[in-house]
Amino acid sequence: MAENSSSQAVADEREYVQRCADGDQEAAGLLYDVYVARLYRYCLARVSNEADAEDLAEEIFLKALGAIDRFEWRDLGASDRSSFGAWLFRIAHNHVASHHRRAAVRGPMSEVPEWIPDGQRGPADLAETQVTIEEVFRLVDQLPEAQREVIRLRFGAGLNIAKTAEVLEKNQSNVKVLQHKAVKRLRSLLMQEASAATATIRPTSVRNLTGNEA
Amino acid sequence: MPKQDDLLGLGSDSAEALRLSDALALHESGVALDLDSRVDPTLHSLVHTSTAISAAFNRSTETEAFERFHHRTRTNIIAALAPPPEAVASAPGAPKPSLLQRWNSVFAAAGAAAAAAIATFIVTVAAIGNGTPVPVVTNVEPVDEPQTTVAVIELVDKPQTTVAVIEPTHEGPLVNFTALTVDQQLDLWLDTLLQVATLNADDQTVGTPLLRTLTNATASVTRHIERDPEAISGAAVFVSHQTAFNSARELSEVTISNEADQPALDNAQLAADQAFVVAARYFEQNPDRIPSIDDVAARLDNNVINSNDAVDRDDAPEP
Repeated sequence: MAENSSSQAVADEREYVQRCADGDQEAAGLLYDVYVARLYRYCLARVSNEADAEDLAEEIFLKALGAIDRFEWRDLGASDRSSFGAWLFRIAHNHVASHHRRAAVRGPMSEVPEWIPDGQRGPADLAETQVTIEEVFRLVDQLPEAQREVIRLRFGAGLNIAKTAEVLEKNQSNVKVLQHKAVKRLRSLLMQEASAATATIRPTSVRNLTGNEA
Repeated sequence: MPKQDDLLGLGSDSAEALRLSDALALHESGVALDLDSRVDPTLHSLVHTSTAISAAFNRSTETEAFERFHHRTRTNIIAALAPPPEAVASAPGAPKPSLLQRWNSVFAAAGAAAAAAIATFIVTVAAIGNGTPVPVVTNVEPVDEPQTTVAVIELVDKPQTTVAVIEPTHEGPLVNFTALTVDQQLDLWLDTLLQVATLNADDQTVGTPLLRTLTNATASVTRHIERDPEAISGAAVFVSHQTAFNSARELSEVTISNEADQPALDNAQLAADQAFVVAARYFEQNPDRIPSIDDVAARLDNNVINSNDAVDRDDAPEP
């Protein structure tokens, strides 16, 4: 997770936001640089389609820029004074929901994932420790919606617990519990997949995926 | 991170959730976790699963495709904050020189240069055929006349990827580049290039603000060609191609006053190189649009570059 929570980064971000509100183009570019990857990953996790994720990420940031003069800086606590990210992802959360509603009206085709789920990994592939993003999306889809959204915000958008809670309008304890349930379930699914894929995989491979021996 | 003993008052799941959350917070802040799978196998495996998922997400943006998307959309983001293009508004009652006049002032012997360049261009496009190589400027040398230059184009197997460059402007008028017509974008590009050429001729240094304006003007035309090639005429693309070439030439002669200007100069050069490649690719894909010399001259003289009068506007969604 790439969230930079240093006080300098927060100060910089606060300056960028203020300059954006004053119409400073450079600040807009810098702020975009900070958030574009996280915004894109969050959108990709929501729509499972790279082209749509690109469009949505850009739309969301433009939407935020259009409303940035109405953004109010709020303290989330002594150790976390930046809530711009939470505000931005709150917009993202709602914007993608609107996108899904529009897609539902247009028909189901627009929601078909672009990639083909990989159900045919060979032993050599499974020996790798990396989990692919396609696998993550497929497994995350098996979680309840609340847990899915926590995973997207925490690991896709890189938000910490406080900001995730703010986006979802939940208390932090709830988010921690949702995160725990989601990760636990994902670990279980990963282990099931690894075990089912082949009995010939070395135990170390399964261990590498989950951190434990199968 | 809290020890298990500190969490006796909580249910086992809640306690585990808290410990996972704290462990991840430490990990995300850069602290190396000292977790032993034999001592605390559950927490160890949950943290491991979390980091694997996080890493998978991160890899999805560590691609060239994402980088291209980032740079491309950055232009739109910056443009969204710009006020109306005052920089290109004509002063009342003061007729602006035609593009041809400014073209001539920047590129002496423009007619001959255009003729030679078009000839080179036709040869190049014919040589490219339908293969994958992309024309890249590898050398520049005088041809026939002292003031006429032609790009020596060499076909190289280079991935057809381009990186749109957009540079934030610190000073000077803010311009919404993407809201301009191609005519206006080229107009601004030529004007800016003329300023750079004048400074070069006077042995003066060029600063970051001017270099950034040049970069933005260059990138906005390039973006226009890439995004909407059907709406732009061959003459406009040809002018872009030649302006890119001349930008690269002028930029190679730029003197900067301090190291802080170097990134702006690098970006301007990158934008010029990219503009050249994109224009060349346009003709590679649309060989029937290579303009005649008369067509280019007429359009420059009339200040009408884009036959379709396309305006590429990015309508920011309502907040």
